[in-house]
Amino acid sequence: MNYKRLYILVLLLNFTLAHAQSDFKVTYKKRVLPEYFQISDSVSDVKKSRYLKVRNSVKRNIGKFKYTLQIDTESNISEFKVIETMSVDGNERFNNNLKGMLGGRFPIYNHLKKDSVFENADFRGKIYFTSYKSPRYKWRLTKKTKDILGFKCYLAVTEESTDKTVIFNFQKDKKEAFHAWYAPSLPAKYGPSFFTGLPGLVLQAGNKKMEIYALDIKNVSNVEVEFPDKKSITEEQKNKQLKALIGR
Amino acid sequence: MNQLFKIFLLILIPLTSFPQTHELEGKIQDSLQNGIPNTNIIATPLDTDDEITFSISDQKGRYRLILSEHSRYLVEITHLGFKKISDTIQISEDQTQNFTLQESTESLEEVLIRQEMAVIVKEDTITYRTDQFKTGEERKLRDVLKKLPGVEVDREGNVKVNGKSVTKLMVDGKTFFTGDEKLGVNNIPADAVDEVEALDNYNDVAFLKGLEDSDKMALNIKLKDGKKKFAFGDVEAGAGIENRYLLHPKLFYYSPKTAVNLIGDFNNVGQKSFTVQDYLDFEGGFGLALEDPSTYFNLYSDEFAQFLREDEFTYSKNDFAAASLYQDLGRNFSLDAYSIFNKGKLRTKTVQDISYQSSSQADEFRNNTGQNDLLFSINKIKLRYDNMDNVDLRANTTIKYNDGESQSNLSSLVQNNEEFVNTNNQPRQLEFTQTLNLNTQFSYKHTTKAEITFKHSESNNNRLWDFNEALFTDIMPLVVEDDSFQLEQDHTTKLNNIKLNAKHYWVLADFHHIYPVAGFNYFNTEFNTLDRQILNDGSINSFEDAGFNNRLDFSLLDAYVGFQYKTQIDDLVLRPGLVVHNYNWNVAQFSNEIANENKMMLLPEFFAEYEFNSSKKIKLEYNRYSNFSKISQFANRLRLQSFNQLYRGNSELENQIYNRIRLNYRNFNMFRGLIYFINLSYSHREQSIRNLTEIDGIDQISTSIYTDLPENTYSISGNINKRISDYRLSFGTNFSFSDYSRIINNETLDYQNNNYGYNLKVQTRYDEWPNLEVGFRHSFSELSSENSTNEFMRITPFAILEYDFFEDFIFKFNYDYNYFENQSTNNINRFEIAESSLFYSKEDSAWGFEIQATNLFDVSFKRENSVNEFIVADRRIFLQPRTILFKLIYKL
Repeated sequence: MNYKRLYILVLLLNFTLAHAQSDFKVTYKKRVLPEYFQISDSVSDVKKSRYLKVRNSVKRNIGKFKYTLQIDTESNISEFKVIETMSVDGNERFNNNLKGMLGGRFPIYNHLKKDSVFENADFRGKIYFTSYKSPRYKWRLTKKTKDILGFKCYLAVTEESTDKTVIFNFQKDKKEAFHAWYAPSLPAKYGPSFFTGLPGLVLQAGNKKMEIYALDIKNVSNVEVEFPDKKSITEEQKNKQLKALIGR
Repeated sequence: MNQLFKIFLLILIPLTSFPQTHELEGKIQDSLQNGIPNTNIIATPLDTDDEITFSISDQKGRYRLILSEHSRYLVEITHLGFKKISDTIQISEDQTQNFTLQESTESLEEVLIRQEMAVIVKEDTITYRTDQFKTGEERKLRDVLKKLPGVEVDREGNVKVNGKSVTKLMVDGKTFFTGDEKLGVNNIPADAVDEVEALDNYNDVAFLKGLEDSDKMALNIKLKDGKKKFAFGDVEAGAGIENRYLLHPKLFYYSPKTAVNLIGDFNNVGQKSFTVQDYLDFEGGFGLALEDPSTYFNLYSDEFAQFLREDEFTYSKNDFAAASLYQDLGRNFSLDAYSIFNKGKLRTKTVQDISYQSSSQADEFRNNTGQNDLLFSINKIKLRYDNMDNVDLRANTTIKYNDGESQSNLSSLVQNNEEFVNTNNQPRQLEFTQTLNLNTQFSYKHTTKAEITFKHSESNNNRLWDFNEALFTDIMPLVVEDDSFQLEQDHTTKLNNIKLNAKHYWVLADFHHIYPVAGFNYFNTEFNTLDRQILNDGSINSFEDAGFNNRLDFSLLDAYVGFQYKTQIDDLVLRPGLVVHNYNWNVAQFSNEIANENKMMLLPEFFAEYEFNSSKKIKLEYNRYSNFSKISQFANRLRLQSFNQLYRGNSELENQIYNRIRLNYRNFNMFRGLIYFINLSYSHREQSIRNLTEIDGIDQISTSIYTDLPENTYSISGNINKRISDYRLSFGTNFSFSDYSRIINNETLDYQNNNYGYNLKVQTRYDEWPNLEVGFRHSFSELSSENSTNEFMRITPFAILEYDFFEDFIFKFNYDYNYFENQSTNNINRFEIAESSLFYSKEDSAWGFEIQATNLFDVSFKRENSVNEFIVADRRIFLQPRTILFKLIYKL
């Protein structure tokens, strides 16, 4: 009997068994927050009711989209994208906007080995495969905790946080105030959309006006993410190309 | 000597007391010596009445101030999140001074730089208190904006704040008239402006968000209390040789709840200052194009828009006035109304050489001159209700009225026999339409759209014909008294129509939707015609016994129900549908029922669309259509349509049915500036209402029949548009082939009509050089039957030039050339038309001057050729002679 062969076989089996069921699939949805309905006093009453009407429509419809985050722990890449549905006649443009809020209209890949997040956008006839360094925002970890779906989560806020309304007006590096709740007991650096690079899986994140939140988390086996085999461009290059598009 | 010295001193003193200025610059940094961008540095002179100077630090935290020498300034430096620094400074030479800001532990929502500071920074808004920056000579908002730091205004009125373009202008939080920011920038009076707010403007398209909101913004102009009502506008007045005149005032009145726009145009040069674009703006402009595209595009082709495009006259005098009003009624209601009124006089002249397809008939030469006096008015009121909820309610009321009188003199010459017909036509029409639109979204699974329309219209047309020859002697029982005959014709139509349409959008599942639809369309019409002869003594010779005169009552109820089912497989969307119509109609003539029918109709439809990617799409559509044509075609008694056309309707007509299938492929690659599309379509008529004609010489007697005579049309069209740096090229082509049959003199004749052509256009978009749009169209058309073939070819090049030079001059030139060849007879004709103008106005001046010339080459007529089953006509349409006008424009 070839014990050596058997030994290797058992080892292999152990290896694969141990790594079975080690991938994750998280489902997310978006929702608006109360601040979304704050409108500047400069706006007249008639305009205000029109803006509020649009925002109510967003509130009513944003929940119809579901997003999945599939984590492939073997290649250390995750894919975040919307679950496609069919839009009601005439609503295509509105739906594209809803999907775009906080990201998710186009697939987003989190490539841990490259320390980058990639967005694969097919927009008005051109593909913009853009890379951003991960984490995309400067996070400041706080001690606040809460439970989400049974996991203990900690709050992280972007450096220019809501505690200190420091807003750089009209400059290109205008920073929005983001928040994110991450669970250290779940795979680190992954999260929905561009909310990545934190020491735990992000289950809830957003800005003052809306947030993306996890509905459920599943342990699955053999998630295979196909990372696009394309050359990527930087954010500055993408902005330059978009400016050329809308400028003329 | 003393005197001279005094004068010398007097000259010197002002020279020496010119304040010397020096630069104070440096860096604003934090405790780590990092530059702090966008810090506000204000220097207020303490000893003099000099202006307050202001600087905002750049990306690296650097600032620069220009200060007067030996003057003391209070320099205050503030930034959100940091403690304010105040310092007194006096400089005698260029100096560098850095400031270090300490972080503040308080959280600040608002930073007040000074009690009555010139600038306030809050959240996403910069507010400028303009009084601090005005010097008193400013006339309009643009003059004030130019004085604000960081703000640039160009010649046309485009504004940039800190390098970012302003794309929206609001006044006291509301859109200003059409929303075009140049209108406000160039016209709001400077003394009414209190504060100017620059607001971050977020872009709708989330994908462009990070890019857009750092690049664009909105300006909100806050008006001073007591100055919230103002008027502005401009007046154009012109005069030319031969008593030509033009007066064109354009006035705007603005108040917090009301915005009124008045346009007047009084001229006798045939110019229409109120353009089709102005008409579309009155109707809602771009906003309407986005909300209700089909209504918007129907406006292009309605009668009023056609009138606005009318340019075939020898003389035209118009008194035109239009007013549009916007009123905020409070409690979520707003009102948009407009009123258009025109009184005009038109003179036309057309000469035609007509040859008849039937070889036995000799050619006819027709000369037609007309004088029209018309009066019309269109009034529309739109009420809109917007509340926070999911209900969108709109009500539109339209009232159209026109009244006119036209006198036309026609002479028809056939082989030495000349026939004269003089017609006096008096049309009058009143139309009232009320529409109600409702749009409700209950949840994302259920949305309902409903529309109900009510229309009432009345029209009357009274005609008096005077002619020198008896017409249709076999049919019309004319009494011969001498060699002139007078006929009176009276047509009256009354219509009441109620239409209801409801569609429900139901999301059954992610990829399965069902859209049920139901509604009805009810018509109740009256159509009366009267043809009779007026004898020399004024008595009447009735033709009623000869089969003339109609008193028709027609009612139709079209009730329908149906649905569309939408599904998606990968990137392919499919939407089949079916609608069932039930038609019920009733026709009575002189109160005797002549038709009473009931009919069911099944109208299937199919739609498929495949999206290759975000720029490429292919679409397939199939529809079966059914419609009832004009009710006047049911009027089965005789009536005279023109001096050589008699018509009798048919009470047994039914609905026309045709099928159409269309394929469309398009590629909209905005990035490469390339757009192209191809359309293919095929339509087949199953049942149609066609004319059955008997020709006798140049006289035609026709009736309508309901027939299944075959009729097929195939068409292909394509277009490519490409942008290459400063040029835009466009190339298009179209082909259409149709075969059909007509019954003439009891014989069924088959026809083939083919048309093809292509066009090419190049447009330039230079900033410095003249801008040119050049192109041409080359087309061929062919109409053939067993008896005859007619082939035409036409080339029409054109050029439009616009040149802005020496900053204040604008030169424009339009040229159209027309070459036409009848390839069957080898007749060629050509004509060319040109227009030009030169405009001068100094920037910031209220005055402008213009010389304008229309019909530069003094062309007498333009030529047109047309062909149908009966005739080939070569028409010469006479035009207004060359007109030169000198215009003066004053801006209020």
